[in-house]
Amino acid sequence: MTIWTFLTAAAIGLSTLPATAHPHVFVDARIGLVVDEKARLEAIRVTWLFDAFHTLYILAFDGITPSPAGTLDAPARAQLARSYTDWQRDFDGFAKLSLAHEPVALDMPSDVGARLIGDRLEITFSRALAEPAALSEFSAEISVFDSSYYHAVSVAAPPTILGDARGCAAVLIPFESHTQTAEIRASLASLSREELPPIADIGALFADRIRLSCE
Amino acid sequence: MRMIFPNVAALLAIALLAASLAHAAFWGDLARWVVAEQRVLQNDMALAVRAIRAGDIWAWFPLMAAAGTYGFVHAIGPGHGKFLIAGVGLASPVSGARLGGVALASSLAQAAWAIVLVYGGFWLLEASAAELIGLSERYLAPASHGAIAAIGALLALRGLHALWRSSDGSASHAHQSCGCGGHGGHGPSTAEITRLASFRDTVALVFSIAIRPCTGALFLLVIAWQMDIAAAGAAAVMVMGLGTATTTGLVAVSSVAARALTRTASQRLGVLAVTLPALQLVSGLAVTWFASVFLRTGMA
Repeated sequence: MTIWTFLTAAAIGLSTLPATAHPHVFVDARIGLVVDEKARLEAIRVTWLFDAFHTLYILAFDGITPSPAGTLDAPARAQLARSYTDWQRDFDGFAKLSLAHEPVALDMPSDVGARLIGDRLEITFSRALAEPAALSEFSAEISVFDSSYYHAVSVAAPPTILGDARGCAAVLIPFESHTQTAEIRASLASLSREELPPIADIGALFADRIRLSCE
Repeated sequence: MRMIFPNVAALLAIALLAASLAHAAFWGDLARWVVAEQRVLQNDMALAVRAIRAGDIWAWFPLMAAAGTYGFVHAIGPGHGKFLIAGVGLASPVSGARLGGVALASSLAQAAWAIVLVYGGFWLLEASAAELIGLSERYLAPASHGAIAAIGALLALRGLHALWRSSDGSASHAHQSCGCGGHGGHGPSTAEITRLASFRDTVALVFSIAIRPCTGALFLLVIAWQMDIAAAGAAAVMVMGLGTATTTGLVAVSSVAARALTRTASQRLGVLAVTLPALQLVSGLAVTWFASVFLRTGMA
């Protein structure tokens, strides 16, 4: 009995400690799917809308002052576009594409744009597939997340299909918290606010997903 | 009469276990609340910072309110040395007031150090924001985790030492007066040595927590410096530190209470000489374990 009393008291003390990993940046993402007339996925078009606080930080970090009207001049837009698409090789751009559950690589960003929407910075870019992927048999799925959970990335709007794609449909499957397992909780509980998680791709467990299928 | 005490202890254990389970069930909701609240507070801070920049001095009030709440809410997650504070509270005969003081001192020192680092870096060293953030992530974070792991190991060693002596029987009644002010150390040390040791311990605790600045504070300071509202940024970060101290202070008081419960229960059962050192050993090991995990993943 004694040892149980002691152990439970210790457990109480320790259980008050870790709560969760904390994201520092909030990103509302939108995904467009570029599909050709043969129902092949050619590219995805990604939009990130950063929270107002992080927008201030980005502007301060890069020494950019918006105009009194709250707009960015061309050099500032170009600078932001550059710094947001100059990725390290292992960065996944908060989006993972899979086809029939097999991962498919996406090219580095192209066609990049940056602008302010009110007090929030918006970055938009495209990522092409190395080869267009036929969707007649399999559906494509895109998981949107930051594997370190430093950014809380959520898909803010239903996906749009760009291009001449009759017979294709895309749906948003939002992350639902009740699917969170004890395993995830335990893993998150061991994290510091600032740390990267001990298991890979912890953010994947929180991902909003987009599914694209064509007849 | 003697039969009652084990029953009391059993009830106590069941109550604690129930509380622990309730905590686990509540955890997911709390985590979601923290994240949602943080998003709102970040937006409030952004709004207030822009208003101050535009010359609205009344916007100091909403900035301080948002920053203080941010500190409190943000610290509910791990970090800010909460597990170290709790480990010390469980492991040593320290009062809630004293450990709460350590929590307050480390939060304020952490905030002040962030201000020195960012403003000093910009002003004296003409460093870039990227260099300052890099310094914090690459060097200060591992330094903090390393120091915390070392303190945990020290706690565990002291516990082991006390356990070994209690098995000798020499220290079995040495704890009658502790738990009331941080001066009932394990062993026959003089008051002077104990005071010195606890002062050193206190400095080490504050240092290990404060050396690594909070990322949210760094962000706010970088913004404030670049927007020429450095005074508002510094004030907000100190208020943020007070918010953080509220959370870590609650942890300090809870951990001291948990130790007191253990102490009361095991004193009645006459096994005090074993349980307290064992608690110290386990707490110290837990602190070291957590800090080592953070150190490893943080450096990866």
